[in-house]
Amino acid sequence: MVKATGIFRALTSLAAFVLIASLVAGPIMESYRQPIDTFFGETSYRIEGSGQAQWLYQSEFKSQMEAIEALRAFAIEEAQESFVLLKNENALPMTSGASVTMLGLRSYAPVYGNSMGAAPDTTVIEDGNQAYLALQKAGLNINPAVTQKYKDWVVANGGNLTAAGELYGEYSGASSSGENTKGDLNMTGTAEAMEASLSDLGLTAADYEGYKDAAIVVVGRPGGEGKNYITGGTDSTTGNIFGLNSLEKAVLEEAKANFDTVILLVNSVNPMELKEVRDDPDVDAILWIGYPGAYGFYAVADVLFGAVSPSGHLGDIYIANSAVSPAMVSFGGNGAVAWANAADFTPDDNVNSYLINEEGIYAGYRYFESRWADVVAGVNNAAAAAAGTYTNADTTVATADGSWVYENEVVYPFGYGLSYTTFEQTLDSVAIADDKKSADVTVTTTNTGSASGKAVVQVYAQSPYTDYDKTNHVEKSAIQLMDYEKTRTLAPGETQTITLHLDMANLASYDAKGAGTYILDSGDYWFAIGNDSHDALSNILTAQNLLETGSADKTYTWNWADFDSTTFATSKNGTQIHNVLSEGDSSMDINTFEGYEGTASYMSRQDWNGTYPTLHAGLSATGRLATLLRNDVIPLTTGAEGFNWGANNGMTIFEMINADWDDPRWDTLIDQVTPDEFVTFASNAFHNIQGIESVGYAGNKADDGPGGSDGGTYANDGQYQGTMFSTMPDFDASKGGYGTRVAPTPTNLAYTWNKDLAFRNGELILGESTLMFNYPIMIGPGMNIHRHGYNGRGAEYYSEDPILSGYTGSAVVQGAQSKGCLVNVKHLAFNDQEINRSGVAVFMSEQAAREMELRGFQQSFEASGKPASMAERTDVYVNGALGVMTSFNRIGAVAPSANKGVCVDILRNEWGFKGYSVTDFTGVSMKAMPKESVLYGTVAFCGFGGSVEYFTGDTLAADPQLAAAMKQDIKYILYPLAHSAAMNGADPTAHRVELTTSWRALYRNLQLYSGIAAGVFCCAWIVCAIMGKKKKG
Amino acid sequence: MAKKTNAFGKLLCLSAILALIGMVVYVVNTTTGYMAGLHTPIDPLVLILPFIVIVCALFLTLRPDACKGATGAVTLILSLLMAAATVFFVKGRVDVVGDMLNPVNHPETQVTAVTWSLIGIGLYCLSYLFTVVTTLSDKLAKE
Repeated sequence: MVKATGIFRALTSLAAFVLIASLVAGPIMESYRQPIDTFFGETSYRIEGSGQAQWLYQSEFKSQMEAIEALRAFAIEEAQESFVLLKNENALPMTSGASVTMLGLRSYAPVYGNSMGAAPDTTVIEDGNQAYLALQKAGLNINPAVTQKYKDWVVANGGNLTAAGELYGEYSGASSSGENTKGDLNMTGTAEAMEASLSDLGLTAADYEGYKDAAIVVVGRPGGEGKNYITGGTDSTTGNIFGLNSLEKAVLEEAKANFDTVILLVNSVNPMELKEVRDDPDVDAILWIGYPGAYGFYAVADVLFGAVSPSGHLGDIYIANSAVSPAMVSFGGNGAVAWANAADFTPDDNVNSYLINEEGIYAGYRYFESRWADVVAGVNNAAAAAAGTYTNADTTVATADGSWVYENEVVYPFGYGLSYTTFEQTLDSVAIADDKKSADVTVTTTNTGSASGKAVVQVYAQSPYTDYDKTNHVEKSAIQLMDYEKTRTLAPGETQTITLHLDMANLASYDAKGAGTYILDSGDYWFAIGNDSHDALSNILTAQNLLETGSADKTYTWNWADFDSTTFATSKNGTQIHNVLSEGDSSMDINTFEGYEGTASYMSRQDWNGTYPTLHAGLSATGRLATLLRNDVIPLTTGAEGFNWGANNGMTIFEMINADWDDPRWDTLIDQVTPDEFVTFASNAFHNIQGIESVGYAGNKADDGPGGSDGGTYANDGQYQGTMFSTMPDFDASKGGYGTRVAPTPTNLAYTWNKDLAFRNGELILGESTLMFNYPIMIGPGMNIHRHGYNGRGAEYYSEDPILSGYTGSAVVQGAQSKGCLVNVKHLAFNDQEINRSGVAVFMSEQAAREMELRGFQQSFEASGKPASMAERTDVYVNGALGVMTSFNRIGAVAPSANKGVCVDILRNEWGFKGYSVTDFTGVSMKAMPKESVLYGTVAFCGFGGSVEYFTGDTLAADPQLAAAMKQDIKYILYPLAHSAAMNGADPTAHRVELTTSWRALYRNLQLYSGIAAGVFCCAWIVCAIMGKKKKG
Repeated sequence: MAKKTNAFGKLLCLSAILALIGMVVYVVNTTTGYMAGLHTPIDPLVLILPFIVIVCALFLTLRPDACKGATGAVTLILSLLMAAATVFFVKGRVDVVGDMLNPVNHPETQVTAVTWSLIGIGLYCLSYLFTVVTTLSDKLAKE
């Protein structure tokens, strides 16, 4: 029988349980402070000072509404310029007030942005800015009955429904729920793209009455971090997810059957297979909109109505069959590249798979255009093609040996884009500097049509492919982008002349076998302008008398008689450039590891058909390569002497604001820091900049980009020079959830081909996130290139081309840094797929590494790509990026942060990087190779501490090499902080004050009250027991 | 089990059995597969505390009158020991479960390890709750 004594005992136990749990939970929650803060939208500390704050960097927004309006205007402008008109048979622009029917699931539930890094603010979208509402507000009469049917379908079919009843395809839960029967959101396996069937919708011809001016059909593919596409398994013509599946084709047929005008909007960032719709005479217009951002459909309306002429150009080649390209051979999507002996390694080793990028530099348009050039010239075995390596006219993969035909392979070339007007461009002059290091190219653009619009000047180059190259396996693309500019809006008949200042280092080729550095071959070189890469190459081939369809007058040629291995053998800062990725532990060439000689056979232009990449499945990791994969390479030693730690020199970091790198006072300041402080700083880097008390730095929070702040930070948390927006008289609480994530995705930005716009993007999206939300570090921009179209995270990156990607990213960096934002350019490097992104070992030739991915990153670290409009400015493009985030994947066999070749020899030495280097969410774990990473310049490990035993101040400081590295790394911490908004609003008396957040209050109150309760219940039990005994007695 | 053991005594026995299974899960989970690869140490408190509970509970199940007059106090202590063991079990798995929130590819072995960790924690929780129920009674023997 249960008595009061029993009840009190049980209550005592339960209260004690809560007490124990809360006592243990407290320290755990403190160690996870940053993500918990983010989850609850709180801040667990603030910085207090004397009030004598210095505002080195000032926000341009003095109130919430100023910020919201400016961000909105910019987001729309960027989206307008990013859209690419792919086809237009007099269907666009439409007449304002047109009555149209929108078809396709994505017409109602479009993809506004990708998940995570560039996810748009849902509050903004839900607040009346949904696609169909935006189009309605812009003057389009949208068929309400059909839209309602899509809405009903969405509600009936679940999916990711928000409170507003909208479905945002790629949003949270998309990759993990597994509950969505339509399946497309996972994008793994063989899932089809999501689309509603016409029978499910119950559409009839009567539904279209009154709204038949046009059908606007929207097809889309969601994407985002951690997401993956794979080839095959769908019912599209090619079998790939990027082709239209049967449901989407049915929607298109319905539109063609019921409407005279059919307009297709492509709501995908990853290139779709569009040959069928391009060639369909009943599809009147195709407009690529990518992921247009939270306000993107206002821009769609502006373009549809002709308020703005489309001026975007593709930054990726669009091919007929997305699975057929050299890079796709070793794409890791179908699990064919796992190490055969992966099971022999421990979880700490983090060994799973590998990629051997045998395509070398022939990724994207470099492959298709170069092969086409050789087909035209009839050389290099270009026309013959083996089964499985080329595409049939119907876009399927050829299953027998045959002929490689450009028109079967390519749908839209890199750089392609139409306008509502026409432009004529002339190549006015070319002046190559005597030292070969630069060239000025002047181009005049004239609007020859009847509408206003912007044009893009694209300057391409071709360098000679010589016998030396063939002997030494130096590969050459027949065409490569050198630089670009965008004109202002030109009225009909108006002209603009622009001079582009080309960096000729980007013309040099990396010769790993022969010279072991960058070379310029002897022979004929060409520049060409063109509307796209194919057009420019056509112009060159015409000038070479190999073709008749181009314009030879849009080319310029010159000859360098001598082979040159000296001009570009030193970097811009004077560092000798030599092989660092072709030998030793940093090697990316698998052939250089003992036991793997001859494993990879890199694609060569000498024999297109004979050197087409092959898949090397089933390799086992052995020997030195296996040792490297185990993440413990450099033995720890002791005996470090002569290092001065924790000195009492009385300096603070505030005395070093904007101090030169060579200022001797740095050493005095650095000596104040202790090894434990360094370890604490390095170990607590998840969206956090740990304070360093000895130099008076109290710490800051940080946040993830590249699309703006995603830390649950919105106008509610915004401030202007220390005054919170929420305390200002005009604060609108209903818009408290508006933030900086409103612009289109980074790929859209690149497709604008507008450096000034990219600079402005950096100022607003990253820079103002820093200033309004007090996040000195914003993790972005993302500058990996699109090696192929199957990276689910491709939307966070710019382009397949290192120059378009590099100059766009460089402009973003410059804009952001002008606001004091300490950018973390990510993910250095070779993170071109999400499958096994943590652990996958990426191998390639040093030429491919340097001329493709690294060349893109290089532009941002060397502050290259200055827009012509800023030629006279001396306050920008002075310092390169001051922060970097390394990738998840291995570079070669070692962790990216522990690859000396990339992190020291190239990044720090050749490019002169002096900044903050952080890993990507590894914590201090063995997979990050902590001691090797510290040795090679890593200063922080994003994550929540770690359990690597040797990672203590005492152990690291005892090792002479690591002690010296720590001293250097401390400078890599302090220098960028002193040149950033981390110094904003603070002063030498600043100190950190811990705040009582709701979660802190929760566990502390639980400790207090459960302790009291346990005591009370225990006493009650004892009293009851005593009284019971007395009663019995 | 003694014939005179009452329902609370039987529940205490069940609690001991659950704790025992939980202990086996903890040891296997910690010393094999993914957790072994991480060199995760065995927390002695997660084994010693339930071991005491198991021994005492089985003893009381066989000799329900052994602590006559102090049975309630004993079961309370046992429940507290089980509570502490559960909390320490959870504490030892926070990092590996938290790591699952990191949106990168996680090896199948990690998913398995986390799953078995959660099973073990569930068994300890159930064991603890049963001991709490036994504290409601002053006796483990039938009247």
